[in-house]
Amino acid sequence: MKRILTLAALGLAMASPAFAGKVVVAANSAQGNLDKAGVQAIFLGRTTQVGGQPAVVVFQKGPVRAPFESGVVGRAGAQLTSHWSRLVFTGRAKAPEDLADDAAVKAKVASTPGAIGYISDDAVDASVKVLFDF
Amino acid sequence: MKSVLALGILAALAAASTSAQSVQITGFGQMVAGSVIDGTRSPTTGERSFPGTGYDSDWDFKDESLFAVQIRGDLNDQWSATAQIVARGREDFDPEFAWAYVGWNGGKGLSAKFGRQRIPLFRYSDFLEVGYAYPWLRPPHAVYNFQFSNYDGASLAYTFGTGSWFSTVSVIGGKHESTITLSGQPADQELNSLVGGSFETVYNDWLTLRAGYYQAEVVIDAQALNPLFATLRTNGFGNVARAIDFNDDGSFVGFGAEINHGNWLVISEFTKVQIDDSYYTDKDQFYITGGYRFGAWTPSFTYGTRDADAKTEIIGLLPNVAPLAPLRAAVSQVVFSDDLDAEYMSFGLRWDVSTNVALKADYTQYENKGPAAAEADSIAAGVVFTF
Repeated sequence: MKRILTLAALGLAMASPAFAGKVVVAANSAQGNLDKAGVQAIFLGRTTQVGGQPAVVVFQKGPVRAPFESGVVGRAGAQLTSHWSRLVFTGRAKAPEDLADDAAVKAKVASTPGAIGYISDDAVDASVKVLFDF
Repeated sequence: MKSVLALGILAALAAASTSAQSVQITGFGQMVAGSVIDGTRSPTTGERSFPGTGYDSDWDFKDESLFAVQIRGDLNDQWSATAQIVARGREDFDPEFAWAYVGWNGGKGLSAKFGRQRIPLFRYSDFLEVGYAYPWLRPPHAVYNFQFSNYDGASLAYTFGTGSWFSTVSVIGGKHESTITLSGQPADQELNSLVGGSFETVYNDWLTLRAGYYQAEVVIDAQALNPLFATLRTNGFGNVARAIDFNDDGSFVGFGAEINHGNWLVISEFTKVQIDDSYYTDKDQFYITGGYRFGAWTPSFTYGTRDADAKTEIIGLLPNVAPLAPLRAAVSQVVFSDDLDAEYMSFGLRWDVSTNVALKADYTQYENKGPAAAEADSIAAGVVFTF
């Protein structure tokens, strides 16, 4: 029952007006700006390098997740997990990280070469470099 | 050899674990219950059975259940070591290394693996046991019917994208050894000089096309057949024994297509398998699955066929004279045991309970109209997960 409610809440979140966010890497990363296809390639595990480093893909559980998954990546929830399980359990990619919120993503991205994540607009600061707007 | 390889991978993982954060532990599994609810009973045991499973008329909770843990350690920017340990209910949850390899990622789309890995025969070979990765309760048995899935060796893959197309070419080489069940008795199996390759391309993230070719020298020591071979040889029919046994080249050709568009799902594969100079028939195997996603629910329907004609020319090698009638009968029984005119019809349902847990159910009707006629209906349901 609780899950059904959660799903319903997720549905509402998806239907609500776009929640703006940014795809970010460490401020000193060599990675240049990305277009939507470039972001998709990384978050679907097809591109395995970010700024010349092995990619560390960081998802997060905050409210920015739903608009990012359905609006940018093009796959959400179970379909995205299913997609990644095909990559991880065949060694084609390293398992992505799934962090709690904007702050955790920023800390991880700023301190890890090759890490790439997404955060909400108002969380952007000098520790990160913005590669894509959504 | 097996344990040396496994120990090597573990040592590499231990080395990687000394540097913080470079070891990842992930896993997956499923708990499934199943039963054969209707069908032909074996004349010898009086029991029902269902192809590809160990199910009978009773409910079984082990046969298709499994639990797997994967440990990956990054050795440096280019090299990593991965071990995937799977405990299958069918084998009393005895843990086994399904994958154990050292991987190299050369950048620019080039990568290689050395060690134990899957033989990428089918579209879903690589994630055969990762139930969360596919819509069915089990990959369709019409095509997924080999009693082996791994090899020890090397693979090289090149991945490249051009606009809307994203493609991977891979080649492998190595060897497989295992003990399979043939006519109810254990049989040591070797696939020597196993080589082959596949090409897979994805268009705009919704259409996947795949083709593969593999070959190997197939050697199987089938204990169940040894008494027959001995009789044939003592009577001067060593050539008949050689025409039946497994000691020659086998080949595999496979094509696959998958459409994942909007809420629609269509998956289809066709395979052709043959083993020269053996009673194993040349098989044409096919399935097609259609499904539709209603939110978290995905019902699907699968139709599959297996077609293969008994190699009756083997029986013709024995003169048709009265004293040889019993021997001809014994040879005929073996030859016709692999004649297939089989159909599968499955209704499947998947319910994504959360982003890493799904419930699945399956009802399959099987019928073989060949000389070894049989019918069976099975139902199975379970929970699959990843972490």
